[in-house]
Formats: sequence, structure tokens, C-alpha cells
Amino acid sequence: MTHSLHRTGDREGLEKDYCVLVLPHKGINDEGARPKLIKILDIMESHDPVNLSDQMTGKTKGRNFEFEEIKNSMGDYGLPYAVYRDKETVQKVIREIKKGDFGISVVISGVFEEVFSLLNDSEDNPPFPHTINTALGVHGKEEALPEPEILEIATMCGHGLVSHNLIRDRLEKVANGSITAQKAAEDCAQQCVCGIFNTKRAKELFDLFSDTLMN
Amino acid sequence: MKIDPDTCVACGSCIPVCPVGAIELGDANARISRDSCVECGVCERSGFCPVDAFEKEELSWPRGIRRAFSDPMSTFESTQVSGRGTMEMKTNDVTNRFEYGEIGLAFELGRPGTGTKISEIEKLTVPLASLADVEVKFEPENPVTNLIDEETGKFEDREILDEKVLTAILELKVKEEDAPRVLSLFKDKVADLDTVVSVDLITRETEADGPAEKIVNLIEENNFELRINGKTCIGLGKEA
Repeated sequence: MTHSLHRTGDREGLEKDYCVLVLPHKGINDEGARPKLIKILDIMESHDPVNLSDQMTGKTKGRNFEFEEIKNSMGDYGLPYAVYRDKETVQKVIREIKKGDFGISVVISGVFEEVFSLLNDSEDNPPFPHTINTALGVHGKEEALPEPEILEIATMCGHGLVSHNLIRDRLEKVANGSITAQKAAEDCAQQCVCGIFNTKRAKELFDLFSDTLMN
Repeated sequence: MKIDPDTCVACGSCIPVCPVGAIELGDANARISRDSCVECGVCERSGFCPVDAFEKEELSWPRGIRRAFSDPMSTFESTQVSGRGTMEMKTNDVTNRFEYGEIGLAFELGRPGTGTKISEIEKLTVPLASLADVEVKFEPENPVTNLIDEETGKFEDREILDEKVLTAILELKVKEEDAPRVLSLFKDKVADLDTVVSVDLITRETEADGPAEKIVNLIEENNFELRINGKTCIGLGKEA
């Protein structure tokens, strides 16, 4: 379940792409966790996420589920995920989660330097980088991979559910003017059941790559 | 996955959505290649079919392994976690699965987006299991670990070897000093794989702005690329 680890792109793009994952662990701190998870979902939602979900149900904003439906269908064991565009917002979300003292693990995916700095700047006695997971690249049959531009969009769904062919098809359609970049991004977000697809970043990339890759 | 030929109107809307390109358009309707399909369920969930022609099948063994590894909405019995991996480092602040002095490694076959046959996994698990003088601890909750003989690295049920999945993750940990041996072995074997592999490294050793210098050195001395982004567990978890 390392699905938010392998997002690619340049630093400028990755600095607009943060996933906040909240994860109770079965048998350790999941019992009675639902009310806490609901409060955490409320915190996440109050900071205007690009995408938001309970990964256990597959209900995500990117798949056009309303927030109340995502919240109300969460079971005893849920996994609230949210995506944000800037580290200042993530900092506010983390401050509120820490203040709630929920005792549930939180993971932030993003550029390490930015994530570490937002933790250090949080407040007195801030959260700390307990454990990190780094990506060491793609190896093996690399000739099977598409262009880096396609991968930059595709890797925002770590489970690989946004197909390379779908991205190429939508890039062509944006380039020939039959759909908008926003619609292309929404079509892709609809396939990601974890809700970590960054629709706003994807829209910008569709705008950019429909010009540079298709013309 | 099946397409009901009587319902399908051959509009072709579903063709690009398949992550492994398993859908083809015939004269009268679209068809799914059973050999290529990994049972990920994307086509059915996509919302692109205007007539709901996709039908999810009950899958018997060994084909059922395709859905278990490929559809994040299915749950592995061994982990009770949706998806093909585990909680790995994400809850390390409550599990202490990875201690100081240990390195976690994951080899994600088929990612990004190429898929893999189960047989490809053995090309790594067999040599890893027999690596002399290195204690490779396969993650006990990982689905792959549950399917192999940890002594030999071979899959116990040989029927599954030909099955194709979207990705499969091999998770393990070793002592920090043994990590170069594992990374070197991986580099030796990966050229023989008929798929791509995304590689992950987990550590508790950090400095002010990322991995500790000795971890950066470990990665670079073994000729791996260290990406600027990754995941950080921020230590807010507690035992209930």
C-alpha cells in the first residue's frame, strides 16, 4: 500500500501536491476509532481539499461523492485521505489534528524538504518525521513505459487505475478542442478509488501537455 | 470481467479506460481478452459505458488471484487491508515494524501501469531467500509472503504462476549493513524481468530536510536514484 509514493514530476509541480493520509492500525488503535475519524474528516474538509475520501469505501470527491455521503458511510474502520495544493494548508490541517490528540497515525506525502519544514514550523513541540519512505526509481523493462508526461498524470493514482491510454486519449481530445482540460482531469480522477488523485494539478498538466506533447 | 454482447452498443467509450489495454472493439460489440484482463474492475466502475454492459464474474481459483492483487476494492484475507500491500511504514509509530538500524525495502512489480505475471515475482523471491549470510525478513502480513515458501522463495501453489496482475509488492526488511547486498542482487536480477519494478526504501534515519546522510550515501553508492518526494509518518499515532 505504497500508493502515494511514486508521484513524478518536477519540483514546481510536486510542491503543489500533498496527500494527508490518516490510518488507524487494526488491533492497536482501531477500536472505537470512528468518531475520531469523523472529526478528522471534518477538519480535512474544512480546509478545502482538492480531493477527499474514505479509502475503505472507495467514495471520493473525485468520483463525485458528496462529503456527507463519504462521512456517513464510513464504517468502524475507515481511512480518511485528503489532497491539498500548498504546504501552508497542510500545516493548518496537521495543527488541528494534533490539537485533537486522536492518537491515530498520520502520513504526509510530498517533497521531503517542504514536509519537514512544515512540521518544524508548526508550533511548540511539533510532530516529527518518525519514519520515511523514499522512492528509488523505476527499473527493469523501461521500454514498456509511456512518455514521462503521461506518467506524471498516471502516478497520481498509485494503484495504476488511471490508464496510460485514457490519459493519451484525453490529451488528444483536449488538443483538438473536443473536451476541456478540466473534463479530462475529472475523467481521470473518477478512476482513482483512494481519492489521492490531484484533479487541479492534472488539469494544469492536461493544459500544458496537450500543447507540448500533442502538437 | 465480461461484456454482455447483447447489451453492448459498440460505442468504444470503454476502450481507453482499461489499464492493461484488454478491451478491443469488434464489429458488433467490444470484447475483453481473458488473457490480458487483470480483473481490476476499472471498466465497470468507470462510468463510461452508456448501457452498463460490464458484468463482474465470480472468479474461481487460480483466476481469483488477479482480482485480489489488482482491484484495490478487494480485501486480502491475510491482511484485512484493501489493496495488495500492507500498512508498512504508515503506522510505524504504533507498530515499530521498522526500528533504527533496519532498512525496509519494497519491490513493486508491474508499477507503473505495465502489469506483471506472478511468475516474475519468483525471479526475485528465490534468489532473495537463498542470499547467503543475510537475514531477509519477508513482511509476514504481505500477500506475496503468504503465498511463498519463505525458505525457497517459491510459490507453493504452482497454478498461479501464469496469472497476470496489475501490480504485486514484495516487502521485506534487513539490517542496515545488509541492505547493499539486497540492492545489488536486485540490480543483477531485474534485467531478466519481463516487467518494470518501482523500488521503495523505508528508514527511521532522518535529518533536518530528509533522509539522513548515511541513507543518501547508501542509495547513491548502490546506483539508485533518490527522488525528492516521498512519505513521512509524523509520529501522531498512539496505542489505544
